Amino acid sequence: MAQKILRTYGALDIAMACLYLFFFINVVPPYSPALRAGVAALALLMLSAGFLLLFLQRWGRILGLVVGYVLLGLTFLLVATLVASVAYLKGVYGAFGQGASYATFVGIAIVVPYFGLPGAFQLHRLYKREVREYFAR
Amino acid sequence: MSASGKKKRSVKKGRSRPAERATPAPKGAASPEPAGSGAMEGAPETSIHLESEDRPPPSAPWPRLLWTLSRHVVLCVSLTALLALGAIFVGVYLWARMPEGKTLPPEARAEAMALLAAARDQAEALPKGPRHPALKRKVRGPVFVRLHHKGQTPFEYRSASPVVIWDALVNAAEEFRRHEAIHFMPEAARKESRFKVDIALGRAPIITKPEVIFAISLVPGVDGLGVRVGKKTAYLEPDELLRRGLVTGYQPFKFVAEFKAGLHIGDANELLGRQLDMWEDGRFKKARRSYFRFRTDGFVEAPAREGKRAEPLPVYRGNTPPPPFDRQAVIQSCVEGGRYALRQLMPSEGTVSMRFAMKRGERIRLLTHPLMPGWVERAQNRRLALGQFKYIYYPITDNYEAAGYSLPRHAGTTYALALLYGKLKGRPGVSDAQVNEFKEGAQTAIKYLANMVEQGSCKNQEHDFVCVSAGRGTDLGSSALPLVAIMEYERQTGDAKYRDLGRRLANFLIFMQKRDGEFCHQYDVETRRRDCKEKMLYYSGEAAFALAIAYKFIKDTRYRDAVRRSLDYLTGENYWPLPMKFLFGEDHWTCIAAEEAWPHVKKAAYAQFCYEFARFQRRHQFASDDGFADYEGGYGITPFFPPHLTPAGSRTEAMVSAYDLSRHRGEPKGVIAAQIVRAFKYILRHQVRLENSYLYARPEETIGAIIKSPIKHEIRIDYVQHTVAAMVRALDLVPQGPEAKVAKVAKVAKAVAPRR
Repeated sequence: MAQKILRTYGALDIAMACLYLFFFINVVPPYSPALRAGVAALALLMLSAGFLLLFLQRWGRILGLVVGYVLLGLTFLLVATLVASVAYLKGVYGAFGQGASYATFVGIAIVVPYFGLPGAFQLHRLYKREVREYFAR
Repeated sequence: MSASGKKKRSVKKGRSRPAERATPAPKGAASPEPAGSGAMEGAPETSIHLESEDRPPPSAPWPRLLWTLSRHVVLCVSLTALLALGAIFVGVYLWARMPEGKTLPPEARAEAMALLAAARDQAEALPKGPRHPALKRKVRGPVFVRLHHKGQTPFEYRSASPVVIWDALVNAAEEFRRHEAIHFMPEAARKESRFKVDIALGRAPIITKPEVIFAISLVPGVDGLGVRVGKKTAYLEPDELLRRGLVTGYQPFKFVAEFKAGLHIGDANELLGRQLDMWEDGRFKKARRSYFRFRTDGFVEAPAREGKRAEPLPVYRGNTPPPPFDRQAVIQSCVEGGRYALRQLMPSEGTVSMRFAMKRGERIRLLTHPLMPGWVERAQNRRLALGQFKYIYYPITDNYEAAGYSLPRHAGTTYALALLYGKLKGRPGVSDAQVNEFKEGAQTAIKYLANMVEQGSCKNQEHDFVCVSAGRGTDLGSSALPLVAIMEYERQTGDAKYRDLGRRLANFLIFMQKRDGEFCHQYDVETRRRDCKEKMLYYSGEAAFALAIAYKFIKDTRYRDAVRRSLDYLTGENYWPLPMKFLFGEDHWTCIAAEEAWPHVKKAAYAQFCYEFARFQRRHQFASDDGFADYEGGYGITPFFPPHLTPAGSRTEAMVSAYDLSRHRGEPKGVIAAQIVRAFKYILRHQVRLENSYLYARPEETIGAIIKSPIKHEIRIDYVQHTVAAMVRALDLVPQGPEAKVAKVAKVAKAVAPRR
């Protein structure tokens, strides 16, 4: 059971890392070097965690947990940025407009499933007793 | 919850506390888990939790809440995150919002303006001390005073900050009297000039990075921009940002030069830097700058009429309050719009001067706003033919754009003139001489089209057609809308002089139609071939409308069948892709055609299409409770882009047709009628009047014009065409009498029959 979880999340980490790389290289390439470096670091971390989990290495779980926390933190940061932008524009314009509100919800709806949920599920599964016991043996 | 359930949860919580694993369970612990229970495997790590679970919860409410929360980590983290997000929202909102300022009451404004007017118009001493207490108020300031005359500001004053309003005004008046340029100002110019006062009431910080957020950090036309560098502060008032076109100058996508919205950061910085004398030597760019926006209580002196001026007018987004809304106001608006169009019509062949702004190393630009420092002006004459319109007018610089002349827009404006003649004839307050001017204008403009056909080489004996072409290639719209103009002219005047030309243009449209009902949109005059590859906006609907109106007079059944096929295509096959089930394209001509085709071509599906189209548009129409009072009735999607006036006209033309169609079908849609009247209010609010034209170079010549948007002072002939054509077709929907309310419209809508 633990092996299945570890391998599944290893494969998922690798797939998500590839997805992020594809998205940020081809779809919305960031023009800030810092952001580029951040995306590259995240992808590298996820790939490392993914391969180590795939090969059932102890460090895989630790890196997997780090990935989970990073993704959750990133989600919070992105949602907070969106909320701050909405608050700022509402402060400037008074009423914000229905269309712009919908756009914000769409933004949150994109961020949460692509960053937040994978992180949350990964943490949930990697903290399972079977997984911990597997490495405790 | 059962005991086993509790233990199961506590196992999870205890797993990351290895140091506590060995702690033995105390006496009196919860009943042990049955042997072999999965939840008790690894029992040592659960002991601490069993211990804590056994401890009775605190009785005081707050510790009890904390105790409970400590047992739900995920819930706690989620709640904390939500609270943090809420705090971020409230904090940023309060930081960014503009504090409310107290505006001056009308009496205080009148007294302030009287002081400035005395400085300009009278030789004696200035009045002493304010009578109105509001003028003794100290405000954050500064107070700005400008004298506007023919697009120039010969006098500008800015007070210190903070300041007592009356003190600032007295200083401005005294400085005005000392101002050299004013002494040489002719008497007539003094009478035409208008003072504008802006009292800065509040300011709020803005974000300058990323650039796109900076660009939309000002409410366009309402906020001014300020920057503080060290102890010095520079300001650009809302009017100055409007006049210089800076609120519509940001180009978010470098590859789409046409799309501009938001603050032109480069030019704004240059003007601010020059105010501080820090631009030329580059100190401004290097300096630490703190930007802010500020909002003013603005009011402008009323224009002089027969030597008298009314009370000062409050200004919001460069606009003054509109006249009371009722049917007569809409009739007057149509008349003024038509008169503006006539002033753009060339009564004979002539030239128009186009002026450009040039600077070494920069692309040449049409002079649409006052020259920026370092730019020079060059003029070039363009020849215009008899019956041609001066295409685009820039009222702030009194400049024209004559290049890129659009034949469909020419014809559309001609159609509007014909409508004005027919629909305004006999209306109260409209003289026969006036409507005859519209008729003659339409005739002159049709002559231009007829001359184009005559001189062009688009003639086909085999199919008995001609088309309007200005060169080797032509397009469908350039012949479709001329046909509309000719037929509408015949309908309104009874003059069938151009019917044969209309018939041959209609034959061209038949030639351009494909089997599925769609039209080819381009035609090569030399090779006599249709080009069906490229599709352009509007043309298919225009062609359907043209054939529908042509059928009513020419009675050629080919036209009727072509209209049916076209409408079937436009309302059916054109919308087969799934995304189009949720959206509408630019189909206003389609609905106009569907109504025009009635009763010769009638299908419930066409009416249903138009009702849905109206509903779709209604969702984009600003309502009174949206928080943008001056946008009410306009069509837009966010407050970042003020709604344009042309869609308020063109979509309303379609709404008028949709409403008429509903009447034909015996199911009048009051909701569409109300939508129409809301749009009329929007148009009237922003139409150029003498009162709201204080920024313009030739206010009298601009009256009746329709600007592109509340913040884009550009007037193309079709802005007037669409708005006027919409209003004049639905005059009877507007309730009579002052303070006509939209709520009344539904009642009126039931009572009136559409007029042809």
